[in-house]
Amino acid sequence: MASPARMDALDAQVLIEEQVDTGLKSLLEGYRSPFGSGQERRDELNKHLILHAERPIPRLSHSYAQAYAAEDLHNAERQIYALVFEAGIPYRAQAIQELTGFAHPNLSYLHGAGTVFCSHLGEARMVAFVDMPEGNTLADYLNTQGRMHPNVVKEKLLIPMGQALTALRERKTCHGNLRPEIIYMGDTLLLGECISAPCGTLSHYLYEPPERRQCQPLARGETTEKTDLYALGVMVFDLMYGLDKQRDMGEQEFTRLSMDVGCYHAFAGTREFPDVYTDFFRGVFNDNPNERWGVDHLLQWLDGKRFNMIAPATAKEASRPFLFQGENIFNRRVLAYQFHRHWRETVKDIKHMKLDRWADMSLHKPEMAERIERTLRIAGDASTEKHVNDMMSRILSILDPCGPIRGVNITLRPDGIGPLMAQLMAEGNSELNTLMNFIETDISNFWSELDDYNKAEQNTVLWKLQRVRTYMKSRAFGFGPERLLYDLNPSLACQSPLLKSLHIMNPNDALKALDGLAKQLAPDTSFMDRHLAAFVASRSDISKEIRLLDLSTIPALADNPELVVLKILAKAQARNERLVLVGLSTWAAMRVEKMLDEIHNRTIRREMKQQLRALASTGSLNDVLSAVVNRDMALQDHEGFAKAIAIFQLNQAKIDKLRNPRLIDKQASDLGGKLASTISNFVLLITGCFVFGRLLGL
Amino acid sequence: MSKESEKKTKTVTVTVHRMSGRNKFLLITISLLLMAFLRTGFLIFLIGMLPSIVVYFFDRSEHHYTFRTIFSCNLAGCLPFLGHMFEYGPTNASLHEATSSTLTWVLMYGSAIMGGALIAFTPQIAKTMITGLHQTQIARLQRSQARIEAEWGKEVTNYSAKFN
Repeated sequence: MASPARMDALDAQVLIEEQVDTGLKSLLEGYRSPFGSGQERRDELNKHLILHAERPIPRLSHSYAQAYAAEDLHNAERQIYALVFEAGIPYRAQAIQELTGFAHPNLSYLHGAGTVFCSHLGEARMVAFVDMPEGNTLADYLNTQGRMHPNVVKEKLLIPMGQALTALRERKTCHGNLRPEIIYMGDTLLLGECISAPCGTLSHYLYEPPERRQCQPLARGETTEKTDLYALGVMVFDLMYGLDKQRDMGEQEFTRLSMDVGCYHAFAGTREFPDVYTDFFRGVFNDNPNERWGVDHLLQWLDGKRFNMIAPATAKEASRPFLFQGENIFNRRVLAYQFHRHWRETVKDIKHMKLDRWADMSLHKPEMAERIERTLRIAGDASTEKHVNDMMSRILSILDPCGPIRGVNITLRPDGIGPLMAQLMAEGNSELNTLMNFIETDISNFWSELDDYNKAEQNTVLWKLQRVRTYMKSRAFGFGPERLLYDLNPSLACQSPLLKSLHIMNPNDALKALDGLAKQLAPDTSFMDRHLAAFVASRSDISKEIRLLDLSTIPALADNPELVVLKILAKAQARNERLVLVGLSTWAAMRVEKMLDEIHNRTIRREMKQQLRALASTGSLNDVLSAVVNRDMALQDHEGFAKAIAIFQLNQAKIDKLRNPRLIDKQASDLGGKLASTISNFVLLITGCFVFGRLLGL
Repeated sequence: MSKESEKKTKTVTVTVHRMSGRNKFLLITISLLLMAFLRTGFLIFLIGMLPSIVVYFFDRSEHHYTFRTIFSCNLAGCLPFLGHMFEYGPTNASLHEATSSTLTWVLMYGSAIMGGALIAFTPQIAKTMITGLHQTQIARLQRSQARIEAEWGKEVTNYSAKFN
């Protein structure tokens, strides 16, 4: 409550001026961001790689990147092209980092990659500048000339591909989208770029091993050299014998066949391979990802080593068939595949199928039987669709631990969750809930513990999934589904509507971009942006929810999400002390000015508003926030307001009492009676004195 | 307990004015003394004090200002009669002289009427005085309210209205 002296001073000004000229507008008008708007340098990277957006190259474009002619000002004679990546999809950051400037005769040279403002799109994108490949592709060769002699295949394809894949391995990466369209058969075989699309998104399904084939393209996750070898094996088979038969089958039939008889037999059929190639095909088409050939095997084989590999047996695992949909199934992978295809029908009957008994008695896998029984028991009489689907996913994983994690409409590998989430979120797809359920129920961990097939490379992502599970349920800004998106996709640009067009990759750039946008967006644009908060929190590794405890006495401010986002931005700025952001600070101060209306005391409010300009001039968000996130001020305001209410109420009660006519009448009656009584007593006294005096003769 | 049952059990309390023992003792003593001294004159005195006696039974107010005022005035009007009695003694001649004088009765009853008039008009005067005083206090409180509102805003009014 204000002191008496202050109250007297207030007497003079009955209403304290609400509109305070903070000077923030003029400060922002006179400010020019040193970071610019991000559009100063258009269509160029590193000042010498120029994108010619007017000359698209459709033959090099694909779903995840558009190709355009390009030019290197340092070497004008060198033919290069630019790949403009699609927005909203994470790209292969590690591969780009490893391959930039790496020269190899069998690999496309990557001149550079980075954020470029593309004038034809009106926004910034990730752009990679790659050497223009020469010669026809292997796909052209297959279309025009058809088959190739096994010896020529080895010389023309396998030896250079072995060298290319070895080089990629040395750079700690792999291709991920190996297919005939990306192999150029010039004077020297050249393997085209592998950085513009997520792994497994561009290949035909025949080029993907069965455990990846069933996944959604974006959900296939990172590849290994073994996956590349599998694709190489398919290409060799295509060159030697053709893939017409397999292509004619269609995806489902081929997948079913490869599960029934194994990949090797699905390709080979009854065909006899030349002795030298038998080992190769048995190695690369091995159904067990752990035993599948890698680059080392290929190199040893090319050097003439013979492995004498045994032909894989046809996969008939069970002694007695499992009858499902009128079909006798002997193979648990096939059963899992069929269950997945007939999800709804399976869900209805799964508890009565005696699946655990079949696993025990016919497959002779008591551990598997126990797991199935336990999963069915835990699900119990689960009535919600979510629980039933979770149970189904677990049973399918138990039956086919090598296969992907399967849901009703989603099939994925754990490291594919991130990219798939990015796609679903960008599309606003309802399947996002299914994906979130996968994370919430921790099915990835369950899947990884079932077997060690091909799962060592998933450890990092499994750890990440464990970590983000704690974030997903939080609705606080900086957390929730958006936080998962950025934590699971380290190479995803910020998807905030404010920054999406600027292709922001790190918090510092985000802050600089916001500083540049301040003039344009302040003061009406709010910072209340879940993507912005989650992106900065994720990249700044903020793991605890931001709580404004100092403002606990002013709930409207303590729970203000915009203030929380500003606090996150301030934390990010604090990590780089040299980052002075006057524009962003002024914008923040303008937003804070509006929030200050939550402070009741007009004098405190005015004083705080008056100091905003000085705080914003420092360019520090923390300084601006200190104006409002102030425990003493909050307490003073809270307590003062409570006292003011109490005094106001008391005064009001007094006024009401003083205006009460009944009370006035009563008081008047009492006072009148007293007055009359006093006067009459006085008259009596005088009369008495007069009479008494006369008696006494006075 | 429900409201209906409350109504049923509610008892109406009527304040019956009862004279205290000390007053009764005083009244009886004075009456006996006056009876002894005035003899027949005491009866005249009682007739003179009749307005006060009537008002005593009708004044049910807490402080009995009406009775007190009328009694004082009435007694003041009777005092000259008593003085005459004390001066000349309670003889028949002096009694006759006092009661045959119109002035005596006018004084006795007129003073009672004056007392009534006094009790009728003084509350009006008091009301005017109190209203003026209240207005001054209200103005001071309203200034204080305005100061609070100026410093803490309209929210104070809203909160106060909410709590009220």
